[in-house]
Amino acid sequence: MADRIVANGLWPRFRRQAAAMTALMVLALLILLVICGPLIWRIDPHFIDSDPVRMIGLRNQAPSLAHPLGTDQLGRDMLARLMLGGQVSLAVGLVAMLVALGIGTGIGLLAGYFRRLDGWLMRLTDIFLSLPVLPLMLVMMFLFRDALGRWIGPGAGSFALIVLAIGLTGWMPAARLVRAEVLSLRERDFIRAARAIGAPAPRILRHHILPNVWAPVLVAASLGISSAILTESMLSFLGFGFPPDMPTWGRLLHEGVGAMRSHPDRLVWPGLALTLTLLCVTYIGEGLRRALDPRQH
Amino acid sequence: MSAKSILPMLLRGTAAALILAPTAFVPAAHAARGSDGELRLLFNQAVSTLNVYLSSGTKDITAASLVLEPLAAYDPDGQLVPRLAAEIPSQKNGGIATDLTSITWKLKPGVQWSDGTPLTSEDVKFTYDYCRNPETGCAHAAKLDGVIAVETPDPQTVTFRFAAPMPYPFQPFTGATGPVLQKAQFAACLGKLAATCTAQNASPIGTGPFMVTDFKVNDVVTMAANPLYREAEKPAFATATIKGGGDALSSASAVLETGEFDYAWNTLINPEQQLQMEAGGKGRFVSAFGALVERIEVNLTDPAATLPEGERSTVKHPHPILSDVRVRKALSLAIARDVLVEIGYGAAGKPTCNMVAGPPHYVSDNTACLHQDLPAARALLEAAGWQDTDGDGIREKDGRKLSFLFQTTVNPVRQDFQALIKGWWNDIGVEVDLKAIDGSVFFSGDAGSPDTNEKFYADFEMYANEFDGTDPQAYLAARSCDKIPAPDRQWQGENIGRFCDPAYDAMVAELAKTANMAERAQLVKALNDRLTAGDQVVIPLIHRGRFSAISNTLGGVALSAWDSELWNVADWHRLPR
Repeated sequence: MADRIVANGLWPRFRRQAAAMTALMVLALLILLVICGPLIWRIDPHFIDSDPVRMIGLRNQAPSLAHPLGTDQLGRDMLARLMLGGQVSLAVGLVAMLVALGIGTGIGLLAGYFRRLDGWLMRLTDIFLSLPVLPLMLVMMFLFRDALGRWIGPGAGSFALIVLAIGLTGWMPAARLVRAEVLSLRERDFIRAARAIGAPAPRILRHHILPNVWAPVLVAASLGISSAILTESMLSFLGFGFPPDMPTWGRLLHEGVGAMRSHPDRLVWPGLALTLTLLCVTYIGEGLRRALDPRQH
Repeated sequence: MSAKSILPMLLRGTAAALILAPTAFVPAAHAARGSDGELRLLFNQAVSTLNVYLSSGTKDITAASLVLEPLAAYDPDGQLVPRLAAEIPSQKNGGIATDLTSITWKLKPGVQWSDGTPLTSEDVKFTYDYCRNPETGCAHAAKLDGVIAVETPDPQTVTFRFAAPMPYPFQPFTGATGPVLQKAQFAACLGKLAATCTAQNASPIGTGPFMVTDFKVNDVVTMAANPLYREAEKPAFATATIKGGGDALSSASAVLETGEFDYAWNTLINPEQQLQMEAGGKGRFVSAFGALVERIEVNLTDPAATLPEGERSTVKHPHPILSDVRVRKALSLAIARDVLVEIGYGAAGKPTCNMVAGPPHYVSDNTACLHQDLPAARALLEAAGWQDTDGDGIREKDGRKLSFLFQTTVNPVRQDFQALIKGWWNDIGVEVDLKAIDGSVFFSGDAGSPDTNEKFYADFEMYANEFDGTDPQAYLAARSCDKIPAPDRQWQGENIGRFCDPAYDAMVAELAKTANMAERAQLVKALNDRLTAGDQVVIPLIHRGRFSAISNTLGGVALSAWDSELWNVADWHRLPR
């Protein structure tokens, strides 16, 4: 089957690309660091010494053995905050990407396969593409934050809402990609054969089309992660993201701006982590695209 | 080392500036008018008009105070000082009617406008008519509230008649928001025409120490010493330039590090930056404390989301935890206010336990909250029946956790405060969830939004507030029962904490009838103590001040928080090197 051929060839072809492989390793290292790091580096990222004298002594410390990245304006350990922030930012990126991809693939499949739905669904996609995303998200945050927070607690509520907001406003590119792919697939002989022997549409979609569109989906996914992380940073920067004591990379940047002149490192570390992640994800996406592109071989 | 011994040490650098300041109050022997050259002022918001009555921007009001003068100004202690008036009216000198329904001002004899014509009471009456005309769009019409007539029995006398007895009759024509305009210049600018009088608004003729020579809107104002200024040999400077633009940090730097300017207005920066700037050695920061108090409002009603909409945070449901005064006091005791000042404001703030933090004669000597006392706070919670029975670090009572939602606006200093206060409250066994709301939503007063400070769908909220002018009556009256925001009045009302006590309301009513200043002060202090040390229905944190930078070469500066910062610019002079 076509999908097996692609899958079998994918890894060797991906592995041959030095940039993409480096990016994959760096990203793996970053993920390992933010997930396993806190198990080794056990300082509480929220810890503020309740003794005023000790707290003031701990503020704004330069990097040292006790605090490899120094401490912030309230004496909290920057390394611990950076790792916790990474967990949140990466989790938001991944989950929001899955949401966007789920919606986008679904709509793309339906629009590409069913002629009757195509016009309607693609106009819907156009409408979403033309909506100003940021104001829309701010309104969503504003309307639903309390309601969701009531159901599942303020922290989980914010997470669900941010992920949904990013997903609901980011599925359009995936939908267009998938539709284009499906349009070309549905006229291919193996699909016509399946239709000819009377296979129902859901079965054709699931067993014959979906496995063959995952190449563009994978590329869209990698790009979706980076835009989701950036959007979360933007929301945190505007004060609409997580509760104020949750240190995402975006919020760390936001806090760092005020101290830019005296402590530029506060801005540099979260900025570096964010940039590195986005760069890696983009290179991996590019690597996947090349590995999947038959013209390259 | 204890907290008490190290904090003063850390604060010493900034305190030095405050100790030095009083020496500047002593007027130095003046040289001749205009002998000190140019006075260079830097405003980080550019001046857009010099007609005070058409702007509510502090930058415009401050700039105009060099040219236009009121009948009386407020000194740094909030006391009235005569400017165009010969003396401050009182019941003793017959200036205030015994029934408190009128006030009569006598003008200083021989005062001239900078064009050489004499100042008369007609100018005052004209300015009143100008501002009272609804089509003028006067920004400070509220200062004239209650005035029903202005009479000018002779060119030196003006009388304001009030609709009802006014225990504090000094609102009209005092301070930088109540200057006198020249009738001859503005006679053609009444009502609708006010905004079209571009030339007049850009260069009003005044009685002050300076007169406008050139004004580039939203950029630079150039002024020269007024040759007809009534005090001989003043001002010491020949010219004054007000340059606009930049931000607080860069304008502080222009005075303290590079010395390009003599004075930078409104340079509120964080304490670390304050120390860096002062290390520049070219000048110092000066602060002036008015009435602005950063506080935590305590919700005395239940904000629970489980209540139906329209009943949340209303007097129908008293707060299940915070109705107990012991809990409120414990939470106040757990806060180290000096640390908050050190982290957020430096020399621009002082710890306070009072809601009325100025003027000095109204301030209660309530200082019990100034020292953080965690053991006492824990003991209070124990006494109130809150104990940690399941060992998770959070206290419970009757199956309910001691847990709160604490909200404020999006602002780096406030987010730091939230984190610190959460830490201290966690320490005494209180769980805290934080929330930050965009300031434009929080202060919008929009009845449709769940996030306004009036709706108060949280247990605590932190923000700053003050009263206009020097009299706190309306500010204290805002805590009476009839000012509680509620759905049936579109959530309007200033009693944010929903405090309601008939005894308090009775004291407010008494204050409204009392004219004697000493008795008023007594009542204000008693009301303030009820809200704070007594019932702790609000948790005051920091008395915030105006904060500007001045050059070491400048003498005579005495910032007033109750008036224009430049209220005494006629006394400013260049210090000998």
